[in-house]
Amino acid sequence: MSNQKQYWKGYEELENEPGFVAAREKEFVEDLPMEEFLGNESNLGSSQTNRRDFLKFLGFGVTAATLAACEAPVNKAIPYLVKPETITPGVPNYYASTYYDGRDYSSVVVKTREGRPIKIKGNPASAVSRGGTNARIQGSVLGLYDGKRAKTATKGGKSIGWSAADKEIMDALKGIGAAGKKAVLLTQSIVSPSTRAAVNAFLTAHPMVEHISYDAVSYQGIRLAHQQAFGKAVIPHLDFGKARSIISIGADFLNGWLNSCSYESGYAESRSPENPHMSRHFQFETVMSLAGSNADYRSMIKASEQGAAVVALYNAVAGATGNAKVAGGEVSFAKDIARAAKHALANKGNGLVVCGLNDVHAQYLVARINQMLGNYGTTLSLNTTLNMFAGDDAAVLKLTDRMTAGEVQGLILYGVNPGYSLPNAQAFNQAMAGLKLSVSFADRAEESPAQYLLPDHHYLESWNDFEAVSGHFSIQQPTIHPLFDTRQAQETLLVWAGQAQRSDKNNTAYREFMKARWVNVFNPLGKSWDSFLYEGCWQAAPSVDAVATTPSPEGGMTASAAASALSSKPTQGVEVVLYEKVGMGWGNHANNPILQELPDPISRVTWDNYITMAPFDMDELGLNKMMGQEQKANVVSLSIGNQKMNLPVLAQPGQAPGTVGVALGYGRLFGRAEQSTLGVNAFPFMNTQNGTLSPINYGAKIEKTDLSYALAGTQTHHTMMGRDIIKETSLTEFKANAKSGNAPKMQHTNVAELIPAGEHEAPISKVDYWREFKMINHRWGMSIDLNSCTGCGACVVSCHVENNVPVVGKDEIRRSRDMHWLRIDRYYTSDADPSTRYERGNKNHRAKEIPSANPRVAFQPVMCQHCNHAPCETVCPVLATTHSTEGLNQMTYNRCVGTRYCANNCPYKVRRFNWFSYHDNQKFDYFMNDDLGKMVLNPDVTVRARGVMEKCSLCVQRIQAGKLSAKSEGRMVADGEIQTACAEACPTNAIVFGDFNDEKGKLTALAEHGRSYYLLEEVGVKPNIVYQTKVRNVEEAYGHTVSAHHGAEHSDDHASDAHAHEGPEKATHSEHQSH
Amino acid sequence: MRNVLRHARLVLVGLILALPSYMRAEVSAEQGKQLFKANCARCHYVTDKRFVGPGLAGVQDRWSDEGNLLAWIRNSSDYLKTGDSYATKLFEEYNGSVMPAFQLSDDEIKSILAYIADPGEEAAPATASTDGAAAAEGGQTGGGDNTLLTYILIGVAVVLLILARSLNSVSKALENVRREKAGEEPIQEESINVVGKTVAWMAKNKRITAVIAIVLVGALSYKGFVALNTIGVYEGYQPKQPIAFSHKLHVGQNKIECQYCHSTVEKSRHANIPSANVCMNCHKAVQEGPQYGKNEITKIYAAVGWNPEKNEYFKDYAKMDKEELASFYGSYLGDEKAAAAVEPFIQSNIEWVQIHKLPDHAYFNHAQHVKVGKVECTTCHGEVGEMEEVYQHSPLTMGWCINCHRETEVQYATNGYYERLHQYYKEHKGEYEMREGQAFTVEKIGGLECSKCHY
Repeated sequence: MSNQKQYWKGYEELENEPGFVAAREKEFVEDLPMEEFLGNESNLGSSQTNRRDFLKFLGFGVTAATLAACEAPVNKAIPYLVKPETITPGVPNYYASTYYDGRDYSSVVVKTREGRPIKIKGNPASAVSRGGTNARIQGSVLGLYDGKRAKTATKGGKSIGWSAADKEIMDALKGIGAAGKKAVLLTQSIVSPSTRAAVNAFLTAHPMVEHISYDAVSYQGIRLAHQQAFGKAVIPHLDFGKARSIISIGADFLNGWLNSCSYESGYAESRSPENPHMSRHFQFETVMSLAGSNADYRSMIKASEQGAAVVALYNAVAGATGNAKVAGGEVSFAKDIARAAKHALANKGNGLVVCGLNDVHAQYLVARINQMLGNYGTTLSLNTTLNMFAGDDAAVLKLTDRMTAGEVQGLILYGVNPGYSLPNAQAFNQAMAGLKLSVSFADRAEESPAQYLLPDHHYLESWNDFEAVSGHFSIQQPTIHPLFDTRQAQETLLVWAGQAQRSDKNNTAYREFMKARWVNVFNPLGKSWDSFLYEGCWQAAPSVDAVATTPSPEGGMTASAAASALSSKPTQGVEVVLYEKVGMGWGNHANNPILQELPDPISRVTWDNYITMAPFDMDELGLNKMMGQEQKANVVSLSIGNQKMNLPVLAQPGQAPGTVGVALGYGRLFGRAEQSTLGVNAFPFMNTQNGTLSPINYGAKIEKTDLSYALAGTQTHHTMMGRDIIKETSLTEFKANAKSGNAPKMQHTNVAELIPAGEHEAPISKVDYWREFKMINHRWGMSIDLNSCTGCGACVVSCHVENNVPVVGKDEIRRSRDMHWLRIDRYYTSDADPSTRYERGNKNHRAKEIPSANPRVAFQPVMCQHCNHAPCETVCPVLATTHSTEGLNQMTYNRCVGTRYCANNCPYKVRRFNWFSYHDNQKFDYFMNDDLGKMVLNPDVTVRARGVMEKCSLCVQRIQAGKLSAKSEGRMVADGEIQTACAEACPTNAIVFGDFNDEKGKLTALAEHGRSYYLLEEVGVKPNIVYQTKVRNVEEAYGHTVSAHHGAEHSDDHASDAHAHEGPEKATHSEHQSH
Repeated sequence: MRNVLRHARLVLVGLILALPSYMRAEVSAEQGKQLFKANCARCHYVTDKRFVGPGLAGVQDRWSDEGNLLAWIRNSSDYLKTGDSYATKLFEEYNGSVMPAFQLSDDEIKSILAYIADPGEEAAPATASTDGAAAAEGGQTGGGDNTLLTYILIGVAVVLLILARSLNSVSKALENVRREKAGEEPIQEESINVVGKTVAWMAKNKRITAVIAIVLVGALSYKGFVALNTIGVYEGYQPKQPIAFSHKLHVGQNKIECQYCHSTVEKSRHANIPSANVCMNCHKAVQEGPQYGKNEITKIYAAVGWNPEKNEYFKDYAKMDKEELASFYGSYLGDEKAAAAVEPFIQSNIEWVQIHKLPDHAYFNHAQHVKVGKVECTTCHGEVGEMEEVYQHSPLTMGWCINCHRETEVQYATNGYYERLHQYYKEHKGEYEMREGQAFTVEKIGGLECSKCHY
């Protein structure tokens, strides 16, 4: 190791679990059951196939093969009758559009081929999402081709015509109005000006209808707090790019907190070590989150202490800025708070304090802290505000009672599914079933029992406009004709408002409505309609109706009142924190197999949710901390009050002891393929005590059961055997020496001219067994910045969609047969305990258990390194994998005979063997085996068959396309013109694709960078993927030898030497272990 | 067999095409009428009525010089280059639509002009060509029968042989039974003797036997290998297309550029099959062909919904009654058989049969080859202008691709994309000279690498 830290992927590795040790020695974990089959005498003996049968089969087989080979299938080539002017078969079209599902928002560009949307990328023109997407948005294109979507309007499950449904619903509404009762239109937070206009038109036409906004996970506390503090019920727009000091108390702003998708790029920008003011990030949290895993200082605190942490920070800041302190805020991690406060105060006006509690008191104090620090106006804006998350928790929570009482007799659901996501969903569903009228615009029959299902279009079939952040507009346009007989919800509302006729399924009515608004009423820039569509997003004065509420006088809340409200938190029993996983979010994409199979960045588990628990607590309960093929997780029963559920338990380093975490979005039973119904719905554990929906609940009981459950995790797959592949350093050391943390490795050699003067060894990069091959025209490569990579997984999904990577399912994942071409390794790092020396030959890390309770985390995307001296190429017996003159390691599927030698010889473990024909295979009922799902496949990439190796091709199809367009225009390929799918999806630009031969290119500059290093340079394979050292902005040094002498940092085997250079690496994290 | 067919068809087509040439002896209005019908009537009327091109009544008066008129008719695009003001005006007046070139002698053109000058009575639309089509089709069916006949004959022969042999053995057996009863010697099996003799001969001449055996095995293996190599190679594949579209007429005779119809060839990986609206650019006006008359063109009309009687598209074609349409096109064609052939096209797509098909794992890009590589269409597709019906000219095997990549030179000096490469060789004279004398082929820039075509 390059420093005295230990890197481990899980408890299996930390504790050298025997199964893990046995498995890591093999590239292919499972042996083929040859012995088992042939060794079984009785089985073979009872086999019914005799010699004559064998000959018959043989004869038939040969004849059939011969006949099949001779008969050419007749293929039809059917041209358009009238070719659309804009479509050229074989050439993709791109349309600007927008993704919004109530949870995530991003301006996107949709790639279509022959009229089929096949890929989503971020629209860099957007000042809000800044070209960023997340895994869910990347995967959303597959949702369009989901065969489980509702295909037409239904009533009670039976098809009913649209006009019949309209008439019946209108009659029912009139009946409700005549009886003096109410109906409720329950929607997701509406950020679209035109949708709001359509809703208003509907409400005006039907005064008995009341509109309530509902967010499954609420952030109302922030709005209420700003109402109290500034008289404006707003959520400020956050600019992480300007922040130099970031303090987050329980807010996972990189995944799951507010509009997290658009915070990533700013965050990464602020954290560039080349930036004169690299930000320092302090995280105080309970569950190991994506933001927490990227923090410089992460303090592990209990959920119940988050309020006190806010008070403590308030006091620390107030004390230093001459404001009055408040009572409370005594915490055991005061040291950590003081350190964070000190840094924030040193960066006044450039800091950002955020808090994940949906609690008006906590948010009020946070607002005041930001105010005292002068952060409003730079990193937070009260004028540019986030229009998302405008849900009214109190109204939503009252709704069930109002329905039961008969006051509300009609319910129309748009973009929400309270029957799944409300904590009292059962009671809600009962009440809803008894209503006179219940309508849902959902795209499939869901948990909420609606009489009428009037399916909405998929977002790729819809027209809409958005103003997610005030003044920033984005348009949504259809990229395909609606696949089914669906109708856009807005058009339905307009029809009901009497403002439109149902035209056809192409919802021209709503388009005209919207167009009229934009072109005639609301067109501040005087643009043409076409330019709106072309650009997709633009800035303008905020639309008048976008301000959520009119300014009202500040509330009477005071800091001390808020603090005292925060201090009384119950601490009995286990604390439950509900969090969102990168793949599932709120569960909107539950039927998306690609997202289900995306390993969670932190736990690396696919297809399931589970209880995350501190290893310490698991030991107490006697639960199994290991994960592996033979290691099933123990199932415990978790209960709060009368809500009870059984869930498997996973050891989560960094989880505060005494707390557990459960991911939302799982256990969706309706309208899903069977394999997508795994997991348990955790929404019933939502806390409603303060009249808001809070994802933190208290007083839970945990009981061990006799059950066990197999989780499919990838964390032990493709392990790098503890080799030195993650490199990190501290900012101080980096500033002193750009090469700190990745000093060049040296090697003994007899070739004297390779050895620099004054040294006795040569740098490894100079020593080479092979003759170098010159790549004259291009040498493609990539740079991956470990410092910018937040581990979000967008690249994995993007690669999946771009390259027709099959989904293999939970069972196969458990056999270590995941097919991801690109994986993001997550490493925990913890300090070596000085009391035990790391002994050669004894790789037992057990002694480091205590520091490992709250480890630091590093993410490392690994794909094929396209080695110039690729070890896979030399062992292929059939030359199926060869090297190109442009530096690519090519994989020719049709030559591959599946010996798998290459995978066994790959030091990076990036080759995947295709075990089955995943397409057209009933056993893999994901998306490749039905005609609808196949429409998402990229026609430029082969769908691989069984028995071949596959791996990252560096998106060679895009390289070829980019080269062709340059050749056609007679120019050289411009830097940045070609983007691999992963680079394109990366919201933080951690992945940069380019040409090493382009001297002025970005990649060349990055490769010459001090932070750059190659994975396992010592094996001499000369990769074309360059990594950038991770730099943590911590005060403590990593203990890298700063001198030019590199002797101490050779390799694993010399690790014991490295301890001689131990730095003062202690107390970098809280060792707080309260119960 | 396919070749036999092709030859038969070639002879037939040749005969049909040769017919008019017998009559091209001298300038006569009668001959002019025939020629006019064959070549001009698609776009011109003999009256002064405007059609695709101008009405031709009084055309000789409009052109001061007869020589110019003849040149104009023979090849209008060439004549336009002379800058003749009247011709240019005419060209612009008709929105730049080019009159195709004709391979007609001066005498023939003069006879057409003679006909135009005195057309006599307006002739009814020619229907004679239908016979040609029928004849062609007949030829084809005959060919099909021939194939079948051969197989039947072979089959019958085999059956007869087996029958003869078994009858022979039966009679022998009966004879043996008779002899056995009579106590005579049974008939000696001659064949056994032959086998025995052969074996004895082989035992004596082991070397010759070995040589013969090796040669036999070698020859069979080679034959087998060659045969296996042709599996999946469809060179010469010539399926029957739903519409008897003649490339020979359109490309060879009318000189329409390939890209006019296959317009995406420089933009996309696919060279598209033209959509029906491209056909309609010309066939709104050209409603009859020289060979099949209205029959084939009407198939396009049936697909897109063109009313050739009113010269307009049907409104709401997709919603019209299919049977009504069938009877409409039937009465338009006035021929039951032709009408039946048109019926499947009504309100539906034209399902061409794909001829050139690469396997899914091979990526081929037309734009790369045509636009960048400046490869002629005919290099791979053969002389399409001479094909009545298109067939696969090249084997489209990987070996064939590779061979071309080995031989074709990259035009790197004229394309800015290769600047870095060019620069490198200029700077590294040594390496460049080493390559001198060798062609700078596609192979040299990695054109044989796997992931150029397989990904």
